[in-house]
Parts: sequence; C-alpha cells; structure tokens
Amino acid sequence: MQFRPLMKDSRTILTNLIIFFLLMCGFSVCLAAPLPVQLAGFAFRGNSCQIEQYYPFVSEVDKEKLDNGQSVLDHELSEKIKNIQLKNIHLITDKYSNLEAPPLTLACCLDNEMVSREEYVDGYKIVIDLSAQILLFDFTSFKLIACYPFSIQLIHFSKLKPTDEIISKMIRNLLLSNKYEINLLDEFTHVLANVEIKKFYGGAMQVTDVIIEKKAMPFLPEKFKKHSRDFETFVAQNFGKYLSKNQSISILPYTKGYSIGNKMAVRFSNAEVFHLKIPDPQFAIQLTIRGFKKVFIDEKVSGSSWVYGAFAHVSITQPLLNKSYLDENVKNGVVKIIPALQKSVDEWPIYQESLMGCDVGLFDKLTKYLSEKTEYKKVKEVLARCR
Amino acid sequence: MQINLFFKIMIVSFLLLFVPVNGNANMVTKQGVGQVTYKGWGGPSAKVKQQAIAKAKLSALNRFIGTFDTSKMSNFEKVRNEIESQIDHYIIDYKIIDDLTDKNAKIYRIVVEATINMSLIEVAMRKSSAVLQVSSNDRSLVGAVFVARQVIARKSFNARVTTVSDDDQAEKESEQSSGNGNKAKYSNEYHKTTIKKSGGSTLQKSDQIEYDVSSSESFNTAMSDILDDAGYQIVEAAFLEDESGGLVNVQDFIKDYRYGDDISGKTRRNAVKGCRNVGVNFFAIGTLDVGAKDVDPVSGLVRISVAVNGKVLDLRKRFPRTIASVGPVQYYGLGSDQRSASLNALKLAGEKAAETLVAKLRAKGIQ
Repeated sequence: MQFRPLMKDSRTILTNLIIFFLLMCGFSVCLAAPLPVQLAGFAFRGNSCQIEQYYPFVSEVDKEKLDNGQSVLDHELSEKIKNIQLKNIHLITDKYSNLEAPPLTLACCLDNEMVSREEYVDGYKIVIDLSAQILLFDFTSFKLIACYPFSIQLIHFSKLKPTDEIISKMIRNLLLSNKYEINLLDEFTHVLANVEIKKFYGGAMQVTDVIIEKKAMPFLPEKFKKHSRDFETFVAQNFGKYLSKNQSISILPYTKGYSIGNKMAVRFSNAEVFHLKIPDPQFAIQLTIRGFKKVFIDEKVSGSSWVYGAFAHVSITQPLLNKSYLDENVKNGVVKIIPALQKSVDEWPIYQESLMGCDVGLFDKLTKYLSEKTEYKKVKEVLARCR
Repeated sequence: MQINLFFKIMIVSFLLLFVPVNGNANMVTKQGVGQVTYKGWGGPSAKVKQQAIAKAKLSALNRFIGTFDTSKMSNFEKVRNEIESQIDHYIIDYKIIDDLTDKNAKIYRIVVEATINMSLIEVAMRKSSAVLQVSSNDRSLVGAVFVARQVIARKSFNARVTTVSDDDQAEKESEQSSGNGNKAKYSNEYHKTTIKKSGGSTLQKSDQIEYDVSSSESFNTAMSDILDDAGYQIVEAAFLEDESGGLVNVQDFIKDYRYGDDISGKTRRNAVKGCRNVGVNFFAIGTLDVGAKDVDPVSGLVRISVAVNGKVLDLRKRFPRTIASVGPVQYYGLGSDQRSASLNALKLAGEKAAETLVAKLRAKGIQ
C-alpha cells in the first residue's frame, strides 16, 4: 500500500521532468532562432543638402518611384534580398515605420560615387566607382553597431563622347540591371550573405588616420591633387573594404574631417535623415601612402615591361594602451607591358591597381596575409576579437 | 503543493526568458585604462589584474564625467565618493579590450570598455541635491514667467546716403613780352587746376520690429516638468496674479517684450514685490525669441530657431540676486511644417534651459 503513493510521486516527477525537457527544447529552438533585423532600405551618407552634390547620378535614380511611392532602389534591394539565404538573421522587409519593428536595422548606404572620363585618340575611357556599406545600427539609440564596406568598379571604353546622359544610363544599369555583369545591389547581397550579423561584437576597428606623403602627390590624378581629402577617404574606404572582406570583420567608417561629434548623417530614400553615433574604435588603423615608383625590367620589340610599385605604411594600435600590433612599411608591384606603339601611358590607373587593385593590389594582399602569416600573430588575435 | 511550485517555477523561468530587456536605457559605453605597478618576478598576479580592472572602470567613468558641464560636474563631485565606492552598481558591464605587461618597469596596464548606467548616476545626483533633503512642504516655491515672441512685422529703412563734394579751382596766368626793335615777342600762359573732393556718409537705421508675444505653453510644460522632477515647486505667474494683488502680471511681461529686448525694471520690481508678498522666495524669468523658418541643411525639414534667456532670482534677502542663469543660447527644432518645428524648438529649448538651471540650483544647494 505504501508502494502506490511512491509510484504516483515518481510518475508526477517523471511527467514534470518530461515537461521541463520539452520546455528547454523549446527554449533551445528559440535561442537558435534567427535574429530579427529590419531592412531600412537604400541610403546615402551625408546631409540632405549634400546628396545631389556628392551623388549626382545615383540620386537621380533614387528619385524614380513606383506607383506605390516606393523608390526603385528600395524595391530592387528588397527583391534581391528575397533570393538569398542569410546566415543567422531574419530580415524584415516590411514598411520601415512598423511599430513592431525590431531595433536592429540594416541599410545599404552609398558613400562614394566617382566618375572619370578620359579622352583618347580613338575614344573615351570611362571609370565609374560606386562604394557603399552595409550599416547595422540600433534604431532606438541610433548607434552604429557594424559596418561592412564594399564597392564596384566599371571600366568602359566608348567611341561616343560620354555625356551626363550616357553616364546616367550606365549608373542606372549598375544599380538596376546586370548589363555589365556587375551590380551594386548584387554585391550588397553577396557581402550580406557571407557576414555574420550579430547584436554585439567583441571589438571594432577603424581607419582613423590617412597620411599622404609629399612624394606620393605628383603621381595622383588632378582631382585628387586638388582635393587630397577625397583621396584620403578613397584610400581608407578601400583598405577597409578589403580588410572587412578578407577577414570577415566589421570596420567602422572613416570619419576624419567628415563627422561632427562622431556622428554620421545618413539620408534614406524616403527623405528621412538619421544621425548615427559612431562608437569609439577599440583598435585604430593608421595608413600612410609613402609614394609610387616605376622600375624598368625588360624591353622587347613588342614593348617594354615595367613594375609599378606602391609604397605604404600600416599601423594598428590600441590608442589608450599605446600598444602596437602592426607597424610596418609595406610595398607591392604590378608588372605592366607597355606596347611599343603606345605613345602615351596614363599611369595613375596602374599605380592605383598596385595599391588597391583586387587580388594584385597591396591592400588586398596585405589584408589576406594578416591571418595567414605567422609574423602577424598579434594582428590575428585582434581580428579574432573583432569578429 | 511542492509539485505545483516546481511547475510554476519552471513556467515562470521559461517565460522570463522572453521578457524583452531594454539594454539601451540611457547606457553609455566608454573605454578606460587602468595601470598597476606589481612586485616580484612572476608577472602580474590575479589580484593585480583585478586592481587594474577596477582602475580602468574608474577611468572609463571619469572619461564620461569629463563630458559634463561645470554645474553638472560640481553636482557629481558631491556623490563621487559614493559612486566610486560602488562602481559595479553604476557600471553594469565591461569587456576587456587588451592588456599589456611591461616586465622591465613591472607595470601592468589594461583597457576595458565599460557600460555605464547614466540613469543611476542621475538618480544619485538628484538624491544628493539640497532640495530633496527637505520634505515637499518645506521646499521653496519658485514663481515663473516665460514669454515667447515671434516677429510679425518688420519695417526696414533704406540707407540714407549723404554725398558731399567740394571743387577747388586754382588759376594762374602769366604774360611775357620782349622786343629787340624789329621784332616783338609776346607769350601768355594760363593754367587752371580743378580739384574735386567727394565724400559723405551712409546712415542705416535699424529695422523696426513688431512681435507677437505670448506665454509659451510648450516651453512652460517642458521646463516645469524638469524643474518639478528635480524637486522644485513651480508656481506659474498666472496663479500669482490675484494673490499678489496684480503685482505679478503676465500681461506686463508680454507688453514689455513686444517692443523691447528686455523686461522693464518696473515690471520686474513689481513681480519681485508681489512674490515676496505671497511668500514666494524665488522667481524665474525667461524670454524666448522664435526665429524665422528656414530649411535644415541636414534633413531638408523646416527648421525654427529659439533663442533663450533665463534666470532665477533669489528674493530672500533685501535685494534680489541672480542665482542661476541660462543663455542667450539658441536651439533648433525640426518639423514637417512651421508649426511642428516651432513646437519642437520650444520644447527642446525648455528642456535644455531647465536642465541648466536645475544643475546650477543644485550646485548652489538651493532647497
């Protein structure tokens, strides 16, 4: 008779344990659930009054609206995101003003539109650079959490004089079609699919300073000689892009001379402007462009071979601790054959390739080596903290 | 009963996991560095590292406090010891960024990023203020009048230009004649020099401006909220009018501010007299200039500026003296139209002006 109550208690305890187990299973499922993130859409870095001045062609495309009032860029971005598998986030693409929206917000923020047109004997060379960043920020505190820079470049040769109308069409195609087999929004989705979006990151890196030494100045194109600050930003953005891409880390935007009170203005397609607070970086990167040099290596009937070298200095420090993780002069060269019949050579694109070209450039190579080579052990530890 | 309790605990624990935690409630993150000199050859011990972390937390707090203005800093100084002794209560979280050991100098350094609960620091400062050390019945009353004005008509005058010119003429004539018998020679020279001098002055008369003056509700509410939260008991001037026998008269303030840039001495003297008659020991006067609308270059929205001037007078002694003042300082409000931009500007100006006044009143220990 004493056995029954014991049985009853055992059963109850067992039932409770099963319920507890099931609840914990439910909890585990909840923990593994993807992080809800709101998609804010396409945006421009800068004040409202600067948008048309800084991004004359993309801002024109942004003015195109669908019947429902949505910008074509926002629409295209939402459509492209639907087709990708995201690692650990659930992206909400509903209307931005939704009150139920989670605080974590994601945007594709254009930060550079650069068009250069060069006249040659047989036509025109057009180079279009579009740079942007994946911005992850907290909508309640307007604090920037993570930033993944990316860019596309189109080099095109045309026999027709590249008028603004032609450039406008080309940029529209770089945003809304796949005519040139590169597309800024495709690049956005590609980068987004490969990074780990989190609510908190262990650390943050930022290019805090770019110095252009006097020796480098004569090699720069006129537009950068006149506005050296634009070149500093261009260098910082490109280094950040490769570091972020090659090491899968977030890198805070370069703000020297551009932000007031460490805030960054971002204007969305619906004309809303946010001032995002940029947190202090835990690790600071200083870049110095020391100069450029070409060295003759060989000559044949068909032409001559030259090495175009880019020289820089890179340092990574913890500012408060005054601890250095990397402090090194670095250089890189690309070999170029100049055909004997070619009378003049535009050398800047080759130097640029040597400094920041994809796969062959100094920045791309160095940022790949940082986790591969043993001499960069300290940097590797820093990178691990920032992931 | 035990089973029910067990079940309830599990359910509650499970549900608690889904309670949203607002991790951003007035949290500030700051980096701080801590340095400790150690002894011995074995490197920094765990104890030394803990000491360095504690110092780094204090350094983070100090770097944050460094952003305070003088009045707020002086209020913080009153509670500094209390906060520093319970640093872990105010720094809710920290993460180690990196450390460095200088084995030759035997110095261990560490950098942490601390999350500081700003709300708790505000509460500690508020608790320490003199006004909260006394019961609400013993707190002094602060009479207040805030008037806002906006340009409704502007009469500009053309510049009055006075030109003065002066012509000086100098004439010189000379004759010469000579002869040698057969021939006679005669010459005549005439010189006329004219010097023109011109000058004058331009007189530009100031614009004649007419304002629409009113008692600003948005400003009043924003300001009263903050002063009230800080423990100060605000009595709007409108409620003092009857009791003071009309000496405190909002209309007098409005009338003065419609054409002039300040409140007249007579109006102020009457207000002080009226306040003293009804036992109000402090009197706050604020004037606001609402600017013309323009377009905000950052957001593209309508922008309105509000310039604030304000002060609190202590009426307890024979002559009233200013114990706290703010301005002139300008704030901007943004909105989709002029009305909303104006309301936002007045609200912001009210909040900021009140925060400054409260910090100054606390620093002077006003109850």
